[in-house]
Amino acid sequence: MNGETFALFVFAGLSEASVLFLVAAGLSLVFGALRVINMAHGSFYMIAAFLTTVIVGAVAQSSLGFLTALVVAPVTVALMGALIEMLVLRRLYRREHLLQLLATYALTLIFAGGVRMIFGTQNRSIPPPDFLTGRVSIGGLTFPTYKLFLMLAAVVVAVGLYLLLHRTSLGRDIRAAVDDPLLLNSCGVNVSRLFTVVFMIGAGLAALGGVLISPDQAVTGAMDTDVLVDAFAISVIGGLGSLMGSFVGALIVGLATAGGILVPATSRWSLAFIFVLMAVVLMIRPWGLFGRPE
Amino acid sequence: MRSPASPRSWLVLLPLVLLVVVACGGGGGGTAGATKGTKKVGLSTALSGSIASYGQAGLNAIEMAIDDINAKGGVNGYKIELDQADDTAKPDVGTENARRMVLEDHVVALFGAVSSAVCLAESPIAKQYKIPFITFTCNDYNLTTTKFEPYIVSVVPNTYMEGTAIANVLGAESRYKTYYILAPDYSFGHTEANAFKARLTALNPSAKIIGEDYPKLGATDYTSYITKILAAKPDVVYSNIYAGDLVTFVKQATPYDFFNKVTFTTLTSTDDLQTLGKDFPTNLLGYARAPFYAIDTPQNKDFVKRYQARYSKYPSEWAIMGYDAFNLWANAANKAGSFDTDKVMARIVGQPFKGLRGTFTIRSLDHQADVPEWVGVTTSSPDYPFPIFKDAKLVPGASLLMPEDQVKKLQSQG
Repeated sequence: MNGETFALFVFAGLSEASVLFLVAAGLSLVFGALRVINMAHGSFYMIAAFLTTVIVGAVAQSSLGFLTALVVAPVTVALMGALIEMLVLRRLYRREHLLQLLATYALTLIFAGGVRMIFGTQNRSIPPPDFLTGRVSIGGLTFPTYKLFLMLAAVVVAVGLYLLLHRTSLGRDIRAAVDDPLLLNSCGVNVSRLFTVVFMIGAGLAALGGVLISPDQAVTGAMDTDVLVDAFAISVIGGLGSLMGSFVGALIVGLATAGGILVPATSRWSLAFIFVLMAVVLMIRPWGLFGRPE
Repeated sequence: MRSPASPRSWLVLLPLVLLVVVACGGGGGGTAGATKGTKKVGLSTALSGSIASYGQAGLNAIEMAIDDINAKGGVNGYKIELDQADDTAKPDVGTENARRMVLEDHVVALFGAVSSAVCLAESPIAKQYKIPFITFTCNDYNLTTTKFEPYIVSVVPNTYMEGTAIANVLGAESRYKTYYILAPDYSFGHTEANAFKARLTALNPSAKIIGEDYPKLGATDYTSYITKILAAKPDVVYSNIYAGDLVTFVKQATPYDFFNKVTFTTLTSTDDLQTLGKDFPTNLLGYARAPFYAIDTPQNKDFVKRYQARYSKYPSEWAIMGYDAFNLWANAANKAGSFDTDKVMARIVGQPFKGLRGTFTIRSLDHQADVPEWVGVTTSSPDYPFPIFKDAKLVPGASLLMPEDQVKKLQSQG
């Protein structure tokens, strides 16, 4: 593998990883604090992508439309998240995991049907904002501008989340909820409200991923399940509930997938890499690379 | 135990009862007053997921075809009703739908899905219950060869025909020496790529396949594939990725100037042209099964006009072939004067049929229609908000059919 191939491999891997991180981080955060695996996480991602196509279409000017969507879609979806947390999840925290899975799975079906009814079955496509089209040449290699932007966005979100968790009082409460929700309750923190806020952040993160991805992919009715499987695998590898875990997990999966595709001998099996990784981690360290045993 | 007639349970039941009354009332109160009753036909296809636009187009067209035939008095004096279901592009859901349609709704004909994997799973059900099964989108040639059963009919160019059609064009160009294959990782992608490779190397023995990749159906990041293909520097990239996958691929490959660096060929569906609009690459060597703008029959022109008026979009290939599929069955049943499967099949197999694309014959050996494929180079058009084939070339189906001895050999292997 020469330098050029290596650079392309790293780029392709980071490109995979950046979006996966955005989605996995929210899924993992919600699980860490609420102990709920939210199957509807992918639905939030898909809804935001469809909203983006509508907003960009309505605003006509693609840069302004995209920037509008970047604010409007995550806020809208976070509010939806608040409703769902209060109406559905709140009743399920003390119930067995199976019931939680079934309830959030039911939500994915409702959302998928709703998206189909509102937005139709035609796949959609929107262009990247004007200032992010085209490509950048670095040392004779070509990189699509929008992909570089996606990587930057993932890093910004990672840093932002880190600061939120470690430098704010809300973050302190969330971390405490991850560690010991009972103790937190006895300290006088309104755990019920905290859970709503965490769920809103998780939904908003999924939505942010959906907005960011929509200029780079077809926006389809299958986005919800496609992304959920990968995000879930990453959370398991990195450790459910760990921000660092999502970050490192996304990097590992992204690079392994890209490497698998680029090496001719393994390209046929590269699709299975993510699940092999997950199985290996589950065998050696069932709580994930950065997770903590229950 | 609580009595089943308690007031509360009635409250719960009431909406259900109302629903049933409304649903049944809606079915019976048709317009054609003189009909003997209704008969159902079944369409289980992808109505959700990334290939749902293809399934929806077929559904739209079959609904239109049914309304047309009912307005003319129906089939054998019966009003036709559509039994539709979403297979979510999954073979197990498709078989479940097909079985339910046959056993519970007593459909007299089944129409095929989008995904070849689903059609391959449904075909044995058509065989088991002796129901005509007419495919118009899924086109894996195994359907009419290794998995052939007496009730299948294909009015879509199968993967052998489609792979051969584009190989005929490229194989004649000796300046193209190196090829790269990119196809979705399931039966359709593999069988069509195999047909392409076989014909290409037969026509141009010096042509070399320098790489092959089979991304999963529904892949969302093609960056690795794009950079890998560009590094291999092939003259031509043969691809049959389609629907959401093609849209994603085009979006991600365009910044690399991919479509100017290699000659790219792929399935060019009107659905994907409409999704991408002006962003669909020009100068791409496309192939298509029934591009609405290129089919020069009065029937098609009339259909396009009416489809647009009804659905406010252009009919894609799946709509045109879906309309043909239904009418093939309906006309055969009318001629047979019966819904009996064997009698209807006798009016289909070996017989000519006139559809939107022209007049074709269903070959007796494999029940494959000699329908054509269209090939052309995409060019922006003043008439449409997306590129279309410039000088779309019709490749006659008779020249594309799999040779009979090869069909027999494969059928005996199945």
